[in-house]
Amino acid sequence: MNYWRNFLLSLAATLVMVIALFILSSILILSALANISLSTIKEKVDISIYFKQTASEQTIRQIEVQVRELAEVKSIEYIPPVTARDKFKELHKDEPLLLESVDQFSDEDNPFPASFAIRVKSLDDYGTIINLFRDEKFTPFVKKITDKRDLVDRLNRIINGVRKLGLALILIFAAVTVIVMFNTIRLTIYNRREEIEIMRLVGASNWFIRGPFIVEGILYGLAGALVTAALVYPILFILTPKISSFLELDITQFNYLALNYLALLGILLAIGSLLGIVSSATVVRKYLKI
Amino acid sequence: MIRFENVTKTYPDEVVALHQLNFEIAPGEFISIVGQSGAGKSTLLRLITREDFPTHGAVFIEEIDISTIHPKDIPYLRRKIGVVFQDIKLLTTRNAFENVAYAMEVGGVPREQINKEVPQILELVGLAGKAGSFPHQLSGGEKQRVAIARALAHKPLLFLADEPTGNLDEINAMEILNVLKKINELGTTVLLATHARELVDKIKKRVIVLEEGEIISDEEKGKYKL
Repeated sequence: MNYWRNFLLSLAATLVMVIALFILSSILILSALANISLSTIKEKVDISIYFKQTASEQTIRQIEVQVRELAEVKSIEYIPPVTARDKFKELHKDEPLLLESVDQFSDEDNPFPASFAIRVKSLDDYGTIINLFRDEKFTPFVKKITDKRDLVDRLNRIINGVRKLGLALILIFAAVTVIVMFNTIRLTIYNRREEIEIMRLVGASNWFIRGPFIVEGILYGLAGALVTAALVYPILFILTPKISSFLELDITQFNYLALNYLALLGILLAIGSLLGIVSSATVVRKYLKI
Repeated sequence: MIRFENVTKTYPDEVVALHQLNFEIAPGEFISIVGQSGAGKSTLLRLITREDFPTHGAVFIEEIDISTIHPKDIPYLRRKIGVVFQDIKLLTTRNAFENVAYAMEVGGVPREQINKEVPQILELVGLAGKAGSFPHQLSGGEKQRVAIARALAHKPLLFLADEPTGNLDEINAMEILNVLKKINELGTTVLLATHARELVDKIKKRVIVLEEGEIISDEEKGKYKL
């Protein structure tokens, strides 16, 4: 009876530990993925500067040279009206009506404006470049500036929100884990109270009495970490190619996660044993008098 | 060896377990503390093993106020004190030899020494042939003698017996008493707490009578009286 109840409780302790660690590793992996995709997106975000028809190619080319000199600029690409039209046609190649209307125009009265696609080294420099083109010097030529920063901002906010939620979940489940383990170890102490009394009686040192319970806590942590790893790794192996193709990330970046499989296991083992130690140390302090 | 100075113990619910106790026990003495249940005998013993603190006053063992001992050093104090109880407290999954050896293992005594000394101790308490017997195979008196052997494992300076014969018939009780006497003759101070009249009357040594937490008599060759 006692043994069975003890077994169920140990199972429950290991289970909540697994749940907590599973959530932890999911958040870690999601966070890593979010980081990778965010940096990829950041790299892809460019500033488009569209020029008025009145701006001559020569003027635009002069501006290009000036902008290229700027320290903030990573790359600048000049897209002449013809290329812009070809890109548009390529993008809408399945829509004959649109294509037809575009073909109405000759090269001379091509309505597509010339533009720059500028990439900056850091998103913080985005504003500098936009302000530059809002300057009086350029306004006569510039028709429109597209600012895609809010996209990145939104993404950033979403990711941060998810991270906070994840952190809250981790903390909640860590607390639940500690409470359940606390009770499990307390029951073990209760079951072994006679032996503990005898140990004290014959002058066992504190660590001799307390050690086994601390070890019990650590074992729950390690068991929980290994079970979690056994769950997470197969999922990760199956999902990796899918996520990879979904996010259109190249394999080299994905190695980042693959190489960190070991680090993840290390984190799980460390956090698991930490939770175990915290629970058992608290119980022992509270219930194992010297 | 032991000195109680103005020791008062009050429990949280205002119950006074011991009131202003003053007495001294010399090394090598055999002293009986008698009184009805609730008179404060067990509390007195718990103060000596530092399972509890006096509310007022101090308990000295070999001139050290034991309330000043660091918690970490309490196990060393307890290794100088052997204790047996009415409810014996043996490990049921270990045989007589292992129960005695356990006390030494806990104290980090090397295996060879354990193997050499445990049989000697078992012989001292008259259990030489019972080393391999488990508690359920032993009589009440034999179990108590295993407990005594275990308490002797650290070669204590002081031996505390709290109602050691409480669950035993007269013959077994006398055997336990004889073992205690033998321990005392070998030089260990023995403190016996009991309410067994016939036992105390046979010892013919010092008797302290406790009543409602106070000493009402302390005689060199006392008898049980209440």
